[in-house]
Amino acid sequence: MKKKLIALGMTLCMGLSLVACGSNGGDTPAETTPAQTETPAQTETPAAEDVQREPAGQIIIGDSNETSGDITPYWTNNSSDYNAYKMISGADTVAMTADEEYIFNMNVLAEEPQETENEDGSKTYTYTIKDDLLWSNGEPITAEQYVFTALFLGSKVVSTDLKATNAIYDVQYIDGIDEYMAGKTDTLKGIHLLGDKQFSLTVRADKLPFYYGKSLATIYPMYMPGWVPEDVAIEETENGAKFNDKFTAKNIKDTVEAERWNPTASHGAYMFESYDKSAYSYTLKANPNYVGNYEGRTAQIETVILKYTPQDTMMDEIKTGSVDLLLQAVDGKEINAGLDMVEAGTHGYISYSRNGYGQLIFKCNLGPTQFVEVRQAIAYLLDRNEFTKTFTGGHGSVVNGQYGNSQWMTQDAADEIAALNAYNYSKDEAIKVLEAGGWTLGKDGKPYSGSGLRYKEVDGKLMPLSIKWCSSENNSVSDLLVTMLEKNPDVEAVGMEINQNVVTFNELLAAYYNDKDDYNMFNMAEGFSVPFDIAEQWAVGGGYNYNRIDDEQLQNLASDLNKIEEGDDETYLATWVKFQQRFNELLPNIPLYSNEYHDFFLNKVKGVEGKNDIWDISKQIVYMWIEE
Amino acid sequence: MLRYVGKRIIYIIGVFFLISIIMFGIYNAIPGDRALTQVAPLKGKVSAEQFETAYQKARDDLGMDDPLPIRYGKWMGNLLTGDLGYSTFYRQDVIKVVKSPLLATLFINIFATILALAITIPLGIYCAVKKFSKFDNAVQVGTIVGYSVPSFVIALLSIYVFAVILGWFPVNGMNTPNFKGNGFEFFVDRMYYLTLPLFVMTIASLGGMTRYVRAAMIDALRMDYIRTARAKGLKEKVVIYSHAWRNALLPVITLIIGWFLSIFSGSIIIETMFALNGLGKLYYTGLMNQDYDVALAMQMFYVVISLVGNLIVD
Repeated sequence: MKKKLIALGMTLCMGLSLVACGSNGGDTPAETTPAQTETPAQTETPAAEDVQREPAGQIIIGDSNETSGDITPYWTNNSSDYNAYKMISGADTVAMTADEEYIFNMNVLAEEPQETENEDGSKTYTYTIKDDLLWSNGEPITAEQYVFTALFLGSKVVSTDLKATNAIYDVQYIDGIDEYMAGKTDTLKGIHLLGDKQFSLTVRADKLPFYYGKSLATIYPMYMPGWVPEDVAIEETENGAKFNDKFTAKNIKDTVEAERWNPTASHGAYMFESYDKSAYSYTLKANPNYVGNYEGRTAQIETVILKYTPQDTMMDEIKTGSVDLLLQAVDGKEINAGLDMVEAGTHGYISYSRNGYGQLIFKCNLGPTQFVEVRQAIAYLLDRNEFTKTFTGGHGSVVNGQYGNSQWMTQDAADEIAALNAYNYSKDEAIKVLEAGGWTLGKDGKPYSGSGLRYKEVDGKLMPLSIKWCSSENNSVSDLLVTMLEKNPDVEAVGMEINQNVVTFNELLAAYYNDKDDYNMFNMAEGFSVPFDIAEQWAVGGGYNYNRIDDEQLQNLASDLNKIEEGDDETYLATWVKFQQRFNELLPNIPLYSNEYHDFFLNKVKGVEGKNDIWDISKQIVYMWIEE
Repeated sequence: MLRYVGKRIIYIIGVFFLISIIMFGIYNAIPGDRALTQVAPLKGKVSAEQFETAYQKARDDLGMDDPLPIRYGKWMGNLLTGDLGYSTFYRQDVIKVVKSPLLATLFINIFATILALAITIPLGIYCAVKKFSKFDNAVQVGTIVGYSVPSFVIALLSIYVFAVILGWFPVNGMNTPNFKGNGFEFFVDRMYYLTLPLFVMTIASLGGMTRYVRAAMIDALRMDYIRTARAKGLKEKVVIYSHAWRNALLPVITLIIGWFLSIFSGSIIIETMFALNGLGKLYYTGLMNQDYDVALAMQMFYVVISLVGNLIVD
């Protein structure tokens, strides 16, 4: 307080002598150290495996994604809000381990669930939860509250009347959810309330079999007294559970709106305390009633503050200690500034691969990009190693298939991944594949003379090798692509032209999803979640096949991945490799760069190691502690 | 007077509706698919059929298949009954979305405006009285520098010097996260956090007003009545403040009222650099995410403020 008053007083004086405060040319606004020639080793903190500490201390975690206060993820979709949400959640029936394996959460379940294969191909899991499960406020967690989650999130009232567009995400695999959500029936046949501590959940037949099968059987409790008024009740029928007639938008609107922003009870490692709109920060407190994650780990840090840190000043914040842990720095300049702090001994860091990448996306049903040779030629004409080095400041890697470097498959099939065609920069190779693909004509239909655009005869007409590229405004990837691809003299030299069209991101989305304006090429990022499910993306004529590629082999490999029995990792890996090889050959997309994320933290923060882009901060937090 | 005000109010109503039609038309002419933007996060996370269902629902919610006049009629009807619409980005009623940033912007701007006026008016008067002195020349140079240097440069420099090097102030934010204390302590904490942004806003706004006040005062001090006042033997203080300043105030007051009206508008740059939850950033976010109910509500609010402000000035 005293310090603040002194500082305020000093500033007042400075304000009055403002002329003297003009910019000093000798100062530089930010450190711009050259790229590190030697990167300091990642920070190693004492192993946390067997030590469970009493919750103590406070950590301020900085995230360059702005928080909104909408902590429940059913309306908005924001990664920083979601981090907070996941920290207050934890009584799911199924848990993911650090090895990306799905297991039944035996900290929550009293016994292994009873699994029943039904005649129609669906599968029913009968769960019995433990007697002593408690909400953070001390009230018991009951089977009814698990059933409530399915009925509530799947309801038309919530998804349509109360506009919770994302509510379906967590209940989409429950049998009968589509009819229930559309309001065609008031019962949800895939969920039954069997007792105070017992309920059953049926997974829809069209999703089975599935390699990540257990993940489909995940359900968690929602605090019913907070979300709906007391007069709303759940009724069990032979056709499934349902709400009574008090479950109307009018009746529940106020409670839903209150609970959405201010959850009254939680079942995770932390409980919600407050959201400060002006500081863009969540304050979470350790939940004394949390049963622990799949290894029984509970919170070791008493208070967690999740805070928005603007990218322009994020390194200043970690340097000055305004935040204790800074998540996912990606810019080369920022990373180098952080590594300088690490070298000075004041901070630690971990780095890990982004589970996704920036990419070029092709429409494979129109124009020149419908031909695989053209897509391959573009790959040969872009020096992706140089692109990645320039864009990520040396903190990234090149990817040659549809995979993320954090995935277990990438690590287990490292040799096969290394053998994929890297499409190393080569004008000659580009010409070779184009000529093999029939791009051998000039404008007049005679053999290509070596100058001007190449043409190919398609359905009796000449098609020019002209690529219509759609990119979003204020996009540094697009800027670099202009330099390294569109204006690359070798592109013209091989007889190709690429024309950039700059639009807003929303226009780009509309063009990409709705095939507007006949664009051949887009640049956008893609991230992979667990479970890795790409079947619909490559299904011929499928709703998610925005590339519009019709390749049965690619379709079958993507689909086969899902159908492999749980636990058959060997078959899965072999199929996955085949898929990557086919993808690498067809190049419906060209991955450009995959960032190497860097988390920086003060030396007092321990136990950060182990975190990566899949095992994120919300999961790692229970292994972390503060050493004052 | 009453007749004049009455006529102006009728004029304001006409202009309000005209602008509302133009603005609504412009926002709806912007290419892009708002429904798609709204449901895009679901892509790949639910089945293609479920995604399509969600998309169609979003289209229905937004009335995207209605003709433009129908959409305008619905929007204006709601606006006139106090319903500012629904934010497709924040998924909340606009009135709730706007409330917190509006209060934050008001809080910051009131202090910034008062601080700037408290500095610029005496400074402008002093420079006019001591025109071409070393001090005046220094202020002229300083104000030109302050006027010319973009505010984000001043912001970055200030953060570097006062927050990073000297450690006097926090890098950004409006208050200490998880702050515990009484009302006065909270106020002090907030002022501590807002010192740097206020400093930057003040520096950035000094140039114009100081030079304006100085020019108005120099003009006033050249008038015959000033010579007469001095000839009458009045004290210099009386000449400056009672005679010159009063007359110089007429053009300055127009500018000052404009400044006070601008306390409702946020600064995108300052708010972004200092992570302040203000109206400028909200407006920018609304535009970038096609959150037109938010953008339009703010736009119409500014229209009303400008029209009423003009009436007050006149």
